[in-house]
Amino acid sequence: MARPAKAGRGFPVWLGLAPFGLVLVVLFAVPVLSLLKLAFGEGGFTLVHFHRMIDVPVYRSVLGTTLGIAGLVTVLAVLASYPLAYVMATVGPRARSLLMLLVLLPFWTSALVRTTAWIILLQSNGVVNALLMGSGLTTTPTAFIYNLSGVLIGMTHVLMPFIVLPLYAAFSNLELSTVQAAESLGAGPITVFRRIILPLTAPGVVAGGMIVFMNAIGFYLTPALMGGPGQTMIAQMIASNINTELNWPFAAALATVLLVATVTMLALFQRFFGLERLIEGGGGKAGEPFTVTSRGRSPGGWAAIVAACLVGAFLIAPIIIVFPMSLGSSPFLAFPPDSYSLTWYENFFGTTKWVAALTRSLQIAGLVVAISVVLGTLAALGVARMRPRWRSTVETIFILPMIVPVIILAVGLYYLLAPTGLVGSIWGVTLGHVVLATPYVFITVRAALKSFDGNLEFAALGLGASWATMFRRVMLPSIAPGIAAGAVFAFITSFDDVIIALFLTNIRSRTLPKLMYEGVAHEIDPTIIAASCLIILVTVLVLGGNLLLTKRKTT
Amino acid sequence: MNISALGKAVSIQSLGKSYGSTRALDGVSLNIAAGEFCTLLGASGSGKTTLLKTIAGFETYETGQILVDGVDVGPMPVSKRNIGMVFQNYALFPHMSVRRNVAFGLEMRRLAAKEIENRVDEVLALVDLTAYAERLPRQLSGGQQQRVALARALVIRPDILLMDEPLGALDKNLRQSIQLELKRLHAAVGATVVYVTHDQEEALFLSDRIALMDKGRIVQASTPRGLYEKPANRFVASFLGECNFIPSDGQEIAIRPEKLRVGRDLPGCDKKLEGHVTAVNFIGRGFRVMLDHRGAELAAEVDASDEIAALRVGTPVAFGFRSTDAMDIASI
Amino acid sequence: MKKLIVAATALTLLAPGIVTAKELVFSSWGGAYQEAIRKAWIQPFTKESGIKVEEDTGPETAKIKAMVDTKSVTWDVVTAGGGGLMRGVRQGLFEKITPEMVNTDHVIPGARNDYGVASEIFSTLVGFSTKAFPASGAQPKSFADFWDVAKFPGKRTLPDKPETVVEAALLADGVPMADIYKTLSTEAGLKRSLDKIRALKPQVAVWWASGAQPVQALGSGEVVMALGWNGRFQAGIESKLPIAMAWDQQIPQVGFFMIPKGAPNKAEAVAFLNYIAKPENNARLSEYVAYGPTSEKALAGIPAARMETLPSTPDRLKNALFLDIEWWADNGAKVTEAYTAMLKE
Repeated sequence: MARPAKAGRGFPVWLGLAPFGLVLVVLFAVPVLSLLKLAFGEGGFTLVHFHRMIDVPVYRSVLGTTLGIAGLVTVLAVLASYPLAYVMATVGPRARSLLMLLVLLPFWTSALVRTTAWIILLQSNGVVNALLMGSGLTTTPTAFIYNLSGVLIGMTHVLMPFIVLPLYAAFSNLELSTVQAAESLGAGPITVFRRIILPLTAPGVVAGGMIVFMNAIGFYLTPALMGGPGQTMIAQMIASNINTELNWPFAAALATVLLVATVTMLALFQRFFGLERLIEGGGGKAGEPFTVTSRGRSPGGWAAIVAACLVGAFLIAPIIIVFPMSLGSSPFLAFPPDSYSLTWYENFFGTTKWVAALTRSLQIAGLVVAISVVLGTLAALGVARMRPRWRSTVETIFILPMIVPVIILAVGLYYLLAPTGLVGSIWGVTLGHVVLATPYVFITVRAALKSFDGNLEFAALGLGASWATMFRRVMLPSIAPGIAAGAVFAFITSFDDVIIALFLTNIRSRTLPKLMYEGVAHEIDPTIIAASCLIILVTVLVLGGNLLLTKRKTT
Repeated sequence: MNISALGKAVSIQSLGKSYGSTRALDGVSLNIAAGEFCTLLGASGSGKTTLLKTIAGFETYETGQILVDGVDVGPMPVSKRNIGMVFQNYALFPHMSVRRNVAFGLEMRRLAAKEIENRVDEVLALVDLTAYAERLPRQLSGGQQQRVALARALVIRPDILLMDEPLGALDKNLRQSIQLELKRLHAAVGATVVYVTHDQEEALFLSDRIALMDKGRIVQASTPRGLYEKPANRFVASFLGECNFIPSDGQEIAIRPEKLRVGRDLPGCDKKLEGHVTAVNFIGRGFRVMLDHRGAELAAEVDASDEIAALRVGTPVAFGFRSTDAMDIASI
Repeated sequence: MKKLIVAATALTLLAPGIVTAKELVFSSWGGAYQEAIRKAWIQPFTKESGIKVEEDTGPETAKIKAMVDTKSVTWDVVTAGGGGLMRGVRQGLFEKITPEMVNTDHVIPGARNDYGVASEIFSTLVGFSTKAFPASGAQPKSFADFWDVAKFPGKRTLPDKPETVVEAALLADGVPMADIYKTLSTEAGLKRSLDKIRALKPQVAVWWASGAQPVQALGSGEVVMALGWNGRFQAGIESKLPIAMAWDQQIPQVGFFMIPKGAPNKAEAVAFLNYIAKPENNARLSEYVAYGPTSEKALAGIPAARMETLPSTPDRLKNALFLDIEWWADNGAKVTEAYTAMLKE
């Protein structure tokens, strides 16, 4: 939409871009580049590390595997998200909130616990195989894990919410009359989906797909634990080169190539399918949103419901078995447990270190959410007001933290912050997390601003409101869901991070994930499962309470 | 014009539908002849849109049946009914050009590409949008979008053309010019049209028949003239145009404002009465004079004249009408 | 509570790494291992010397390097296996330990190093499911048995890193212990080892990345045999999992304690290292975790029943091939690449 260039509307572009831009330069560009430049040689300039990458075939093949798996996961996540988003858009508000809870719960479970639960479910004599063989569908155990399917299951499980939410938003913007028009012209359910629903919900998919793809590239815990050697991903290699081999120049070379490959793909993608190309509606009075009429659901709709139920079961399965697992008494995990006890819960509450770590993680996450929401919203506002020419470049820059392997950022930040003494204090970790979390807020608020009607802004300003007042009373309520979504992602990014915590904390400032990973090289302390269960319970209570409150408000 | 698809007759029999405890359609029966332009007229909540949607198949009903050309369409899915529908918000496919929008229905019917191209060109010429064929909906004005919606519905040669308040979003001049076009198209194409509107002027202008609805029932169905000159009851009389109800011997005489004469000279009027002027307004085609007659407020529309122009508020004045012009309605 | 945090933060901000005199900071890998160290060494050491020991975790070599480079070392004693030690030594991260500082004469020759004090010995060996191979029938004894899928059918699990695996493969193929590293240093020798592993690949259900995995896999029945760490197997046995170990062949590795260069409390660190090196103290760790002592003299203090579970008894050491950490420091990168490539095929 064309806007008057400088209509004195009270929000200068620099105000939006500068805060996060500054953070990126100081806390991201400097540490990351200082490490990446090692790729070109520690003493003088050399390309020997890049040569090694090219000459030794295993690295090319790992890079290919990484991109391939990330792509597959994105496709799977999209396929699984469609039925769920469709159902969410066409059921009543309470069912919808329940589904939303279902979609978000996997988020709140630590990656380590989730993967452990999946392994227990999918191993040779795990629950799934027992069901399959017991019902006679198979005669020998199927290998679901320690191979490609294991990685795909694990990664899709955790990354789906990033697509479901924007896709659901796209569905809510779909108008019922558009679908009915197609039907009246003779389109059957499949044609309606293929030619109307799919193209019109595509922008939602694109936004979420980008996040999923870039996240997937950096995964290494899930592939390490649930995949086989054929699924080694590049983040594992980068991490091992940094941590164990101490071959930083080579790790930097790997990371540089990864970065270049991803940024190029991102730039191409932005150009053709980018956030710019959200399709606007076709005029006339606004119609009814997409919903189910008294006619009931088409067979396609029922098929979608069945699919959505399967997807829902997929999402919730590991979360459910985590509860009985936490009540097992043996330090070796099994489902169902042979004997029950509350040992691990006692351990959690009894040992101060657990509760302290949980408190610490919550504090940090709280700070991170507060800061990144401000930075991200400002950035989104700034970008929205930019001239179109530079917009996608700035957008790409603002989401770079999502695609740089976290360990590189962690090491770089250590070198940067050690002299300042912030390492070991709550602020070192917080700053590191802010860099990681803000891009999520930026993306969600940016999307929310897109659907904000600019005329409302003009109307308010025309009536005499200052820009700040207009923002507070008109714009903010409208983009609040986008901010909330971003805040959720930011919280989780901070709450679940291990690597930055590993480098930027010490024993006094230990976070929960760091505690969970202690000793994991040797054993898995079931106390972490108890911890996860508690977190899930609290989340369900908080969100459930919110649900009940909102219901009362609308009646 | 080559697009001659004579529409089919529609027979609605005792249709009933409830939304929870509300009766959305309460025993609705209506016969629409083939090629007829039938308007469903009523206020919001009267059930007119619900009735249209049940004919289209977007809503279910509990009792009664709908026959198209003698065939019960109840069990038929929407996509098989060969109806053309124009929605209130046009519902153009935003990601397709005008041409692709119009061609959609033909593609669903699996016509050959050449045939599709010909028919699309033909109908675009009919609605005068040939120059805009490659544009996207968001690049068109409201009136243009409306015409695309119409073209898209017509090109498939529908048995019935259903239109749900299609002109509601347009300004008055545009609305009138499109109304003219609609009439012209209907004459040329001969489709059966079921048209929903709350605007009674529009209904009077466009329709062969009008079914006036209220609270899920058809109050009266007749030709525009029939409804206007012989309203079945007070509700109908007030809905279509204005109506005066003059108290007289415990009864009320219903008479249209344009049938009242005001002034000293009341040619042809066998009924003469007295009243006071409460307002005099020039409305272009004449004057609108508001009178008070024994406490009842009456409106009269009369030709312009110096005498009328000179009337002042409060002036006692004589008025009258022809008793044959009084409408005989049952008072409810 | 909030004030406490603010105060603590302020203190940390103002005085990074400052520790009052007669204190040292010890960093290891947490979990049961660190708990064993705490009970066996740290607590008695503090009682005896009066030096307070603060514990931290996560001594990633990269973090140690970062600390040393930025002169912000907060750890006085760190632990690592031979690999971590060598990589750190090559980058100059650790203080040299002279005989005057710590006497290591009595330490098993394979476990001595200039830059670290050997703390314990843990072994890679064959663990197997007693459900699949009960005592009534044939039970696996050697690495050759691990590779013998005809005599001992079923799925196996191996590490996803080459250390100990390439040696075990050659031992299973009949190469004498003394020639293993010589053979591996040749192209043909390495190829022979990788081919042997490749031949086993179809029978491998999972390539493990963390020490807990092989035990979980054995316990759950996912595999019937595993190449893993004796300490973890022992923990599984003590948790009533149906597991047993084959002690006939093993590849022991040494755990080391080191002092990062520039550690703030070097004197206290040296005192601690001296403490754990003493045979009578060293032996105590074996009470808590099934890792063997680093000197023969220590064996005297360990009860016989416990000795059954340890790798460094004289008998068992006869068939033990100590991991050559210098060789791995020189050849590790190349061998890992070849191993990863072979796995990925």
